[in-house]
Amino acid sequence: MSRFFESLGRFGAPESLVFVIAAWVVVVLGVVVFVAALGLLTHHVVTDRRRARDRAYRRRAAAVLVPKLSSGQPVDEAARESASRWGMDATASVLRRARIELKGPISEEISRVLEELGEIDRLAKLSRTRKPWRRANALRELGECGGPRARERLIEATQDPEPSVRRVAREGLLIDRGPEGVKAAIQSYLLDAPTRSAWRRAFYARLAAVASEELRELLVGGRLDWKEEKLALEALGDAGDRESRSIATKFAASPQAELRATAIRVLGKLQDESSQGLMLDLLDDPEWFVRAAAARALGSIPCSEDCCLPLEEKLTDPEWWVRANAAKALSRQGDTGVEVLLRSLDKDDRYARHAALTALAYVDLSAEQQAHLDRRLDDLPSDGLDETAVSFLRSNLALERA
Amino acid sequence: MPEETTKRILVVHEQDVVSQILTSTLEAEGYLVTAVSDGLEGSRIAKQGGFDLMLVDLNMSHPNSSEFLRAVRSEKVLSRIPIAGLLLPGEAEVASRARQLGVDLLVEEPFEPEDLKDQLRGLLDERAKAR
Repeated sequence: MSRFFESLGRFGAPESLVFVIAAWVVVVLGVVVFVAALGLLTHHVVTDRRRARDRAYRRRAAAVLVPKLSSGQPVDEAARESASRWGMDATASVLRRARIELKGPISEEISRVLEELGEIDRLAKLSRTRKPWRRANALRELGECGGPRARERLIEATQDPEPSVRRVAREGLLIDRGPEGVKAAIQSYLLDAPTRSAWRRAFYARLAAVASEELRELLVGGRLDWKEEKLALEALGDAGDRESRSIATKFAASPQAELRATAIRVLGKLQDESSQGLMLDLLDDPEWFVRAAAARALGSIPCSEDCCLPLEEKLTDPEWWVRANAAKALSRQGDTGVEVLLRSLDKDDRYARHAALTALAYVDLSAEQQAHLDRRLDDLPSDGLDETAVSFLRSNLALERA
Repeated sequence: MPEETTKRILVVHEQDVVSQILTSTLEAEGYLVTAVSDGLEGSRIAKQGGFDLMLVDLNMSHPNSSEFLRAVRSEKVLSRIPIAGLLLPGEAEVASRARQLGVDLLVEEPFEPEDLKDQLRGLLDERAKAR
């Protein structure tokens, strides 16, 4: 700015003129900032008020609708009354939310009422507008409405030119949970899987939650590549789908190491005790992450005593994760496992000692075991690796005694 | 039924509509229901005591449900109160964490009002027998 004034001075502008120009610039900038701040403030106040009003309307609409919905009474009249008093937006929003929460005949009743109120038509129209985000929002809400007409539009929208809209249409079909819609969503996904793995994971997670049988069929059908199989299997495990145990067992023999690791993780999550033999076999897998997954899976089931020896051997594995998971698995096998961990403190292998010490910090020890541990802790050679674990263990033991 | 009219339930759910659905469903069954939409308020009211059961959203964000459950279970007066948790289908991790934090019953959303009532009645009966 000062250079600008200097250049004005060089061209012969009198000093007073420079001052006037500077003052005007400051005033204009000040006015612009003031107007912008005022605009922003007004926008916030108006938006806040609108939100508060919408919230209040939704609460009042809910007060009219919810007693009918939760008692299973016909909701038509209450919905019309609520729409005329508190507006269509508030009424439809309450009904859509209720449809997500409630299942059974009332869910179909809500879809029918939403259609009669014209909500499906309004959203179907919005789902054909030019702006992709508006189409996506409308499709998401159509999924919440459910019913045959909403489903029809959602299936059609799986052909939308915009990938994000197609993704939301699939989500909508899964929220709707209708079998025809689920099939269409799977079909669309197979032709047009999203690029981001988080979106693929989200699709499988939702599919496992609403239609685990279809997902199992998809996995068995061999239409997925191994990376997709891994995501699908993981989703079934996360959903706690016990029917997928046989599929996981099959994949535990896959030539793909990542699939083997996922399969054994799933069997662990499902706490499948009958897979103990398989878990023990995979403890000797050539890939460290499969061995680590197998050790962890053994920690999630009550093992027989045969497990303790192979797990003890894994305390000297070259990989930290395998040692740590093996020690953790032993710590969950009751007194037998704890005895193995205490015994491994006498070993020369400092890495095995470290893994055992860390796992012991989380175990409720008997008085006898604690005395044994205290004696052993005093004798441990002092090196950096053990010291950290020992101080952690001592603080945990002190906490427990306190 | 006359015995059940005296039972008090605390509902903690962030979604207003869901909270109202739960309140209406349980009040129709004769329970006295107090509903709050935030975990902090929930633990404050719970500490006042007098509740026979808590029905908690396991997907709360502020404070998150784990923090809320830890806070509740660390209070001596609340450590034995039966807790039912609401979760979405497929949330196995949420379910196992909730179990570890002392949730006695898991209810999946969407639910049928009749099923919910049956499950809560079962939990209350079980606790009454254990006393």
